[in-house]
Amino acid sequence: MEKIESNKAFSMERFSALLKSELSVNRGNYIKLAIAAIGVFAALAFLISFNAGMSIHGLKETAELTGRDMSKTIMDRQTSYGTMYLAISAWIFVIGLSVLGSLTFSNFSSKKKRISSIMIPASQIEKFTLRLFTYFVCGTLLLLLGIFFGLGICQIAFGAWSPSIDAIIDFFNMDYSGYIIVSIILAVLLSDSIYALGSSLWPKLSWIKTWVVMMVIQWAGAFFLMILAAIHINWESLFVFLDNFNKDNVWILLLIVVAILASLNIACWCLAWRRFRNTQIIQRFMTK
Amino acid sequence: MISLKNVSYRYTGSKRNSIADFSMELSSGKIVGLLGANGAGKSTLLYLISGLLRPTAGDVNVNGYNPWDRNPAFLSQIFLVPEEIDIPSISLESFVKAYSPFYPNFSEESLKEALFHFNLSPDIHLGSLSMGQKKKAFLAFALACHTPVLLMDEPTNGLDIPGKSEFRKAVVKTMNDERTIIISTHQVRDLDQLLDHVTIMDNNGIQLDESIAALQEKFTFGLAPVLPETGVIWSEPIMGGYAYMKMRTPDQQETEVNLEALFNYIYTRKPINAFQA
Repeated sequence: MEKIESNKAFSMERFSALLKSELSVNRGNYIKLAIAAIGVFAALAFLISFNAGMSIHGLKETAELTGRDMSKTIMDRQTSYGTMYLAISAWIFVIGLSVLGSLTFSNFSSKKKRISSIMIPASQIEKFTLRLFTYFVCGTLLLLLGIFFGLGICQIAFGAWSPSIDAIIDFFNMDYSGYIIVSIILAVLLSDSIYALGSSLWPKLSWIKTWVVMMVIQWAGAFFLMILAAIHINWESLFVFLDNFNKDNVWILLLIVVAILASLNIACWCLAWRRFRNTQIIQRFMTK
Repeated sequence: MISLKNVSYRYTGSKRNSIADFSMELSSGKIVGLLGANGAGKSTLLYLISGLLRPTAGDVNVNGYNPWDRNPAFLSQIFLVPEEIDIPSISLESFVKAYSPFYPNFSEESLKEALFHFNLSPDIHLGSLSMGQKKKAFLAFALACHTPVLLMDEPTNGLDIPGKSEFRKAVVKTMNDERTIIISTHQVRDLDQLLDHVTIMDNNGIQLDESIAALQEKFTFGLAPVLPETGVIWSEPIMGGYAYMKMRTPDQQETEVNLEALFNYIYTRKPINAFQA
């Protein structure tokens, strides 16, 4: 058997051995996770396909429409059910990312697991990168695969979605489409990043604990802003300020949004790394 | 070489140190028995040596490494067998394939030998084993890694009677001058004739740190229907007589060290005047 003797902070050889050992030891869990992720989208696709099929079949049965109207109405229904699938999938995708995020540091969920994880002869950065790679990168790709798999089912079942190339080109030609796409991607990834941070703080029941904390922060933040607005904000001057942001300056606002979202993502992962690096086997919330 | 200098550790939320101002030095080539009452800090000490805990004060050094850095080169030189093990439900072969590449001294021959000692087949599935068998498989792997430092926390817990005897044989088989094995346990009888050094500790530090040879030179241990008239420093009534410990005189033959007697003597007679004599 090949031995790894390098003492670098990050060795690709050791990382690949770590990845192999992780896949070998937790193969069953990863397979279950993949089946669950793809299964959810497949189930959704089947459910929507069934309803779409019933609806379109019902339309044909009534035979009240002429040929052209019929095909237009069918196409409308296909688009409507296809859009429904995409909308629900997007919601599941975000929830799925948060679930994957909350599983990122599940290897620290018990004292026994923490011991076996910390004692593996690999560097901390390799172990952290492995978690980031499996749950953040591969997890996101897995969920995207699930969406497309479900979309494929819808497409076969009722011709759900006929992508209009023109619409896509129009979207990309839209002003600031780059900023908008990046903002959306960063906002979506933030749900993974926040829950990954939560997982590093509370490896047990991580999703619930992080969700509760996020709710408290959101409500507290909203309450604080309401009070601030009631006391300090001069609404008239705020509207004037926003009005002054003419079309040429909107990019500044969008850039600020992108910068905030990117910073939040990076901050979550940096804090998770700090927590990961300093994990002791006796895990307490604020252990230094 | 393992060295701890003025090490203290306090668990978050605890009012007292689990280990306070603790110092110890261990050279290689020894099998050390780490003994202490419940809560004396034995496991904490093992965790500090293996880098699982960061000392609140003091320095820990293991073969030139600071364990808390968790350097991969350091981790490949140390193996910890915790009291409760986390062993995946995969075949032993897959387990070995997954983890052995991280240990440069791993020997498949040693693994087979240790498995043979423990009456386990190399083609077992870890998920189908009892807790005791899992522990045996894990111990076999730990011994086969031939790490210069091997730490074991209550290794005989959960082992059957032949398993305990086989454990001792397997440990002796893999021992060499470059290796340090520290065994923390309450089951002192399980370690009979295995140790060549004993460290007895409590929260205030080391109460005894002696080689078995030195202990044999200083004390004799025995069982008798009636207590000897002179020199007895500790005794306990047992069925049909007494277990006792006494200072050894030059004309007396050396006896095997009764670790339980020694431990009870240390814990009932502090400070240990016998060693200052």
